Amino acid sequence: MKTLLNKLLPALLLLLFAAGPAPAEPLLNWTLSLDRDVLPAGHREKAVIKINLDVPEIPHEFSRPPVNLTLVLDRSGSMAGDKIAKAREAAITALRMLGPQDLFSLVIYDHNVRTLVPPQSAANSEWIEAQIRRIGVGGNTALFGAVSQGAAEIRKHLEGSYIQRIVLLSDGLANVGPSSPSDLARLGAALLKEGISVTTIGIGNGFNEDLMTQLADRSDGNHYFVESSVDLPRIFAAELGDVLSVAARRITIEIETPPEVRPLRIIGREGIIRNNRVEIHLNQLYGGQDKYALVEVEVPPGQPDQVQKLADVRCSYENALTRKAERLTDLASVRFSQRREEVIQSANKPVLKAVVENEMAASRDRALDLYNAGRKDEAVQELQQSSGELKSRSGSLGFNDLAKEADTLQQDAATFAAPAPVPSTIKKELRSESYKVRKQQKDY
Amino acid sequence: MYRPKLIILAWLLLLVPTLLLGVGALRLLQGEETRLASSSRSAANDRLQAIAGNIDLAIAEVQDGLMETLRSLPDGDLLDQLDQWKLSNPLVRNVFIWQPGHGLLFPDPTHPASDEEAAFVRRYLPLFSDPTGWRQTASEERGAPQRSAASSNILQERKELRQLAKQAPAAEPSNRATVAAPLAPAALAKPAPLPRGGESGWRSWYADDQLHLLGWFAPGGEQRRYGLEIEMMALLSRLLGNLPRQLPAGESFALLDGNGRIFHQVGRFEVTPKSRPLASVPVPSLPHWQVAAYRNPQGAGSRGGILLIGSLLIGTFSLAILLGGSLLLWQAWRNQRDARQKTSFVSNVSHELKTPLTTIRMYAEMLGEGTIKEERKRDNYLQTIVKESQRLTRLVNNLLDFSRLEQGRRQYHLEQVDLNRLLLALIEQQQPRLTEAGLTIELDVPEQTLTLASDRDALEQIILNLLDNAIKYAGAGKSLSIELSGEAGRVRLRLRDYGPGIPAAHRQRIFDKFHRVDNSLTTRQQGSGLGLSIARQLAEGLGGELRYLPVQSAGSCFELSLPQPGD
Repeated sequence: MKTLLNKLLPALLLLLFAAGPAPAEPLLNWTLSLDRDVLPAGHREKAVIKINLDVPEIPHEFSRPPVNLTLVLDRSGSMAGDKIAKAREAAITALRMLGPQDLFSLVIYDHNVRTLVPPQSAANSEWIEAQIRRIGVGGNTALFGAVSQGAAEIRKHLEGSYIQRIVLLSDGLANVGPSSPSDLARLGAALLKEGISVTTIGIGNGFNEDLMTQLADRSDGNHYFVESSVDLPRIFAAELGDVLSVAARRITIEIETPPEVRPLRIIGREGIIRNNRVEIHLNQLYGGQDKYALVEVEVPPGQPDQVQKLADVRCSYENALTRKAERLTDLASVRFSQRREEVIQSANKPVLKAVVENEMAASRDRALDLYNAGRKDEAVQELQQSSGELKSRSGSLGFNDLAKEADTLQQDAATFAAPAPVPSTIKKELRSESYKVRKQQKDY
Repeated sequence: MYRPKLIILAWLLLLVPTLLLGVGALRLLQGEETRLASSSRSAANDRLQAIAGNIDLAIAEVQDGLMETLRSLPDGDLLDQLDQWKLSNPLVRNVFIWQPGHGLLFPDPTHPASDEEAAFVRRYLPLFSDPTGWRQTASEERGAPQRSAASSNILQERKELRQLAKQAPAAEPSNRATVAAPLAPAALAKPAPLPRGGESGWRSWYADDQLHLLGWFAPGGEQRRYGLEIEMMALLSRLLGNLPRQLPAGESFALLDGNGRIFHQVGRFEVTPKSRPLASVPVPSLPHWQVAAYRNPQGAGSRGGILLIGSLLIGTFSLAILLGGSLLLWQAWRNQRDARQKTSFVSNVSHELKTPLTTIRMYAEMLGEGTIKEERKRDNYLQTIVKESQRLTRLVNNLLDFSRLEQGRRQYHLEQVDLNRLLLALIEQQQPRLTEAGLTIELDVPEQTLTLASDRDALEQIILNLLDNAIKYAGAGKSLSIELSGEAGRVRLRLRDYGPGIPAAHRQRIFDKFHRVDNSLTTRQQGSGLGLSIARQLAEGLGGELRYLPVQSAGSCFELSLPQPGD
């Protein structure tokens, strides 16, 4: 008996320790839902899977992770007057929201890029504020160089538990250095790989909205279109609110479909679809803000009452509070039915609402791209087509309010078709609104 | 002795060397300027070489590091490894696997997994469909200047240093591995995978008007190649720090892309596409890219600034020398002239004194001999003696006045003077001489007598000198008109003669002391050349002025004007 126990004990201990401590509750909750839980039997169908990540507010007993923030401020000549005054105020607002454990740095740029405040604890607020108040205006706009320098300042503290954020404020076109949206998009994508997100704030009517939204999009930052400089402090406060409430980082959503199901596209977000795998990356999730992804798949014809697995869905992320990796897994499946009413009743309005909104946003973006490329008629066509499709889809499921919403694309089509060029403000509004929908950015 | 030629020679002797000196200095300055410009250009060049070298080195090291990782990827699981590498490394934009005969295996050209992959396939279509395209063509290589041997050496040395630094302690076979510890340590670190043998290379590629860099590796014994596309924006973004941060005002540097567009600039003054660089140096790893240095065209000390200031200084200095020298020479000339004048003055005065003296002595001797019997003759002789004495007195008075005026010791005693009476008395006194000269006086005086508070003697002297001149020089004109008037607080006396007049060139100079118009008239007449000079100085001393008025026909007109303050 004793020898048996002697042999068993190490094995038991080993088992105990190898199993590790009991896994804690994952921070995130999520829901997988479909646009229609029941599909008509006998035909090839399309289904949309909505992966909704519910991010709770950060519990009080946890201290929020420290933040490594770099502000990149445009001080080109066009910022003179109210704009630069409000920008200074906004920068001070942001600084005051940080704590001593946070790092703050400030890069100012015109045609020349300069680090005004090297990365340091936000506790040195007096000295930092004095520097901020001294910002004056200058020449042209070297946006690429400025973002590069901001990233260099961030990298000085890239290791560690910091939430890395660059906030870029600009009122003008980038006219020194790379200025095409695709170039800045590549920079954004590279920064995302390092875990750095760039939030872009465009003020006034002169900035390049394509460039600013692309940079933010690819690096998973926020984007704000600010018409009046008076709103700047409020915008900065909202942005800081997000940064200070990061609950999860480096989120990867993987969707794997069985061989018979084919992933078609991701609606509203960037991602990779390779054979039967879909991958979507997000850089961070904010406490109290839900974000979702929409994936459309093609389903082979099914028999009535057959249950078809649509996908295995995995979500892995780093819990920003505990710095531990966490993982969620689930699967989505759909049922078939002969009865039309069952199909209609199974429609999930929230999912469809999300689909319609995102399709509309994506359509507006595509139309803007076509319009800016000089293909005006195709742009109008794009909007009209999307409008029709979404209307009929919503209507057939009995959601007339959604159909009405889809109809508003016709107004946009009219604006684009008009002989006068689309005003710059409208373009900026379209881009920023579409951005907010596709990224589920909180309204400020 | 009067030698104008000497003075002119002296002046030339001053002028020519000064000019030569000035020109020489300017040439030296220009030479300095050129030397400075070329020296600053070469300094900028050196700096640019260093910057370009740094950038090149950084890129080469990045390429080295990436290639090493590529070569070390294990064979099995290659696709996953490549994909993971792409997802995690900011410098890797895209990865690919290619096989001759099959073309691009990954990404799948028919089913790109994202827009970015689709764009990648499009971008490199010509390369992937042409198996001979993997080597850089000769024409392309010309666009990228080869790295210098020195640079390549540095690269190699740094690489070896890095390898050395990364060498981990040799893994010992563990003696403790037999007992399974309860807390089993994590699996021993996997031995670093060794890079595999085979060909590899880097290819620069142009698409969408931009430079792209592709690295490939063909493992030995295999047909296929795999590799990566560098994320140019991420790479370049990190290289911007190689441009100097602190620059003196007026200097700027810029990184120019393959199309000559400014990619990034540092320095306070703005570089525009129109700016011309002071110097530029190509970057070996980035074909057609360059780093360039700029100088602010408006900055101080820039080209032409030193030249301008220097020229101004030299010019001013030369001018000062010339002016000073000319001033001295002019003074010397004036001194010579003054000396000449004084000499001729002394000679004139001597003659003027001698003539009446001789007459006086002659007549006095004759009277003294007692040989003159006729009463009338005796009276005549005595009158002549008196006249000549008076003449002497006048002359001496003038000289005395002159001397006092020169020393500033002439004092004016003011009293109420009846001008009409004064004028008439003078004319009467000089009547004999006037008649002798053939001059008739036309007098025009106001009915109401003019009174003036003034110095009697000075007034008399002035009018006397004027009359004297008229008698001596204007006799041919037959008539002399004298006009006295007073209005608007001023008293005017005009003397107008109809003689030969005064040539235009002398009209100012006649009031200079010792000045006599040099003509046949004056050579015949004795004169000291002081009369008008004294008269004018006296007039000014009385608060008025004496001037010459030009007249229509022949003759001259002199006007004495004095202030008559109201009672």
